[in-house]
Amino acid sequence: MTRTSLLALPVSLALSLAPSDMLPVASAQSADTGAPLPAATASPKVYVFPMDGQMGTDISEPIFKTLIEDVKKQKPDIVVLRLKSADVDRINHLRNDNPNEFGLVNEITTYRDMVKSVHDELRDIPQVMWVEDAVGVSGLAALAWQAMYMKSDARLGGLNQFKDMVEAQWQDADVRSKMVAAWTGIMKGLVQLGRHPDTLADAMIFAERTLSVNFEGRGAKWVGDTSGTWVVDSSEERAVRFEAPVAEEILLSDGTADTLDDLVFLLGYREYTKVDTGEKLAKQYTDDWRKGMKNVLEWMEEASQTEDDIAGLGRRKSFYEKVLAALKAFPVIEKRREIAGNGISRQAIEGALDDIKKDIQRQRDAEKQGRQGGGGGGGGGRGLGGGGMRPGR
Amino acid sequence: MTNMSNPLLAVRRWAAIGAFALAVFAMSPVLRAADVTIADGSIVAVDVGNKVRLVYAPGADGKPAGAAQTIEGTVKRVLMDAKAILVTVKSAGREKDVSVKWADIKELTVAGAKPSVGSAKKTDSTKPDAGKPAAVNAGKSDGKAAAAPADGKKTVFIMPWEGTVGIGARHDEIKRIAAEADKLGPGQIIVLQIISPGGLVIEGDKIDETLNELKTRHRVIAWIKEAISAAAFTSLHCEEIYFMRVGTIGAITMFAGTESIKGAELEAWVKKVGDVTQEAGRSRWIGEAMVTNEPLLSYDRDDSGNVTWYNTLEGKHKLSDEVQNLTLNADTALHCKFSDGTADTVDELLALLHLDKDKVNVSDIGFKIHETWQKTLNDCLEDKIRIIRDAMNPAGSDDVAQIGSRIKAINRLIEWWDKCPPCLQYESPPVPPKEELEKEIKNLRKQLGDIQRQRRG
Repeated sequence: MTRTSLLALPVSLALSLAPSDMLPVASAQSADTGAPLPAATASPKVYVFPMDGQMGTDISEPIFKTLIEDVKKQKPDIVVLRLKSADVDRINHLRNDNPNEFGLVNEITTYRDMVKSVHDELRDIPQVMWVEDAVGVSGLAALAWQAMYMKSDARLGGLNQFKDMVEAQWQDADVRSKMVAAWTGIMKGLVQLGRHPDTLADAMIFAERTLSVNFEGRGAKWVGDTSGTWVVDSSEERAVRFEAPVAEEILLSDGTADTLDDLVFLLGYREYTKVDTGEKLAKQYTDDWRKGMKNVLEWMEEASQTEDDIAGLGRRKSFYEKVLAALKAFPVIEKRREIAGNGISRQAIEGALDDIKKDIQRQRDAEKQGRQGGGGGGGGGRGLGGGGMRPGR
Repeated sequence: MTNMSNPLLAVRRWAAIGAFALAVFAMSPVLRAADVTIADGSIVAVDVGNKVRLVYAPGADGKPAGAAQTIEGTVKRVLMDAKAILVTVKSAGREKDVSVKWADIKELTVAGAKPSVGSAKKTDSTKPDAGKPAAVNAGKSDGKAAAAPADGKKTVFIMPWEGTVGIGARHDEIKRIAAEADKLGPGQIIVLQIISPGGLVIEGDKIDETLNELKTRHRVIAWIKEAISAAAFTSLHCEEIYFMRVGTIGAITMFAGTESIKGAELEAWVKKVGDVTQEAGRSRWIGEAMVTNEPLLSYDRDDSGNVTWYNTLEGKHKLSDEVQNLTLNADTALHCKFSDGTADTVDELLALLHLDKDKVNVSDIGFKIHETWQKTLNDCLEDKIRIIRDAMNPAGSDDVAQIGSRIKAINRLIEWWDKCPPCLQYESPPVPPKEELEKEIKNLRKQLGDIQRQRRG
């Protein structure tokens, strides 16, 4: 746990320091959690709840459960959900975006449940979303909190190819519409958590939707076309994307903060105590499952080099057991393209192990009886998919 | 992005149930009788769905009365706490909900029923039988009769209804929770917490029958987290629908393989969904817009909160155009009065239902029923894969041992057929019917006998 003082604020922010009654109004009223920002303390405990990396793996249910339990243990005054998850790089011409790292859109019901669990289980603690970068399905997660701040270079963008990809799988017009409606209905649920209207969600989800905004008093009213005072997105070819300054001006974000110091200051506090156990837990989790995935690929490769005799099957069994242990410890590994694409799954490995055990037994029995070869079975599947469900004789 | 054709989102229509959409359903009327005390003190028994003629004068309750107005329509809601009645009125092809306070009503005539005049109290089917002794046994689902609560309190049964309709979410569990409620007498409150991406059409038929029958005895409420497709159809049966903030409902298109149903079958399905929606006190156009793309839907909402529905796009709030299939989320559903409120916790829901926690019992039997079935299903799914592996690649080094292993595996499948049929029937990988498995065992036993005879001989 580190203690941070705003006395070290950069000049630009230090200049804006003012007597407490002049401090920015705490805009994070946290109506979404029902918990107001703490007024009784001048130096709140601020828990950073990291959402860094790929949606569906780095940002996934297991780590959310761990972090929620940690928040309950640490009892902070404020939870800051720091989101950094962008499918695409900032420099288009580099074409260095890795599809394996794109957010997993088909996990949308899981994201809904994850985000809802933070709202529900931590409802007594004010929650603030702080976007470092969010492009893709993570953009919907960003909108799941009413109180939202962005880094000055942050992007908040929607899904570009979602509808095309769903529609490509269904030729029938009614079925296509049904699938799109079902998925978007669930997606909009996240946005509703942040008290944002469907109009905004539509612009985030559908490339062809445009978006503008009208200002009514201190509020903004979204318009699902370009007739509003401020046209945010006139393109019919890509989903809306907000840069931080625009998001603030059109009142989507509550402010721009480059550091946690800035953010806490904007929330109305000169001092705070940072609780960083969440950051450590999340980093450890990411390091561990990614190492686990690397190991799985290596073990699978080594397993494929083994022979079909008893010794070889024994080695293969040993590799598969390690793979299985990794998949059980980190179920998110199975969700990765490079894993799923190779047919590696807990079920397939369990099947292959079962086959190997049977083959070994058969070979041993054959040896005892002085015969060559086993009586059948699948051969244990050096590649996977071979032995798993192959019928015996 | 990976595969977006999540099979769980599909309404699967099986060959054996092709006639579903053409079936004629014997719909029970939605019954939730309420005694409405009108301006002159008379009591009129009103049910949701009743056709009524109503003369009222806004302001009659002690304030200067306005000009008397007459409307005819269908009772959509009887708001016991607000002491008001919501009537859906049709005019020039449009539907509009009009809210009228009881105290403003000068005359109330129910089609086909005699108004019960005076202060004589008629029997209210929503009240529990307070005559039964003993305390509520809310925590136990042991099959023994749970006696009615001595305190006369109503009991709220909350049951998560989760998974693929027909597999995880079934009419069987609704029947089970109904049986628990029946032990306490009529008028209990059953909340189905809907978490389902849809499922089997054949189950929709059973759910329709189960819910229509159940609603005659108890107050049935849908609390929606995810009600897609067949789960939306289920939810639409409920007169009272509440949303979780993440909740969504809709997308009731029926399809087989990759093709949606067409022609007469589609027409019948659209009508069926429309009928169910209307029977529960909502505009049938809402349900119809969830089935197929063509139906248009929009609505207006006036300053008093009255909602007028259009099967065109002339309303201010447009919900479904000719290329859209309708799903509703919490805010929109609340704004157009499709939903009765938004609640994320049981406490919030009870508050919206105007149920004082001290004045009702909240049973956890529904959660236990849900957990029990989900566990059975998950165990079956896990075990089934292992058993199929054993059947396809049986352990053993010779024919006798392998046939023995295969017989053992098939016997385990037969056991699961008895315990968890939907998992074997509908979940991948498919398993042959029980009868075929039994035949297979006979064949294997014969083979075993032949081999043993050969070895002896």
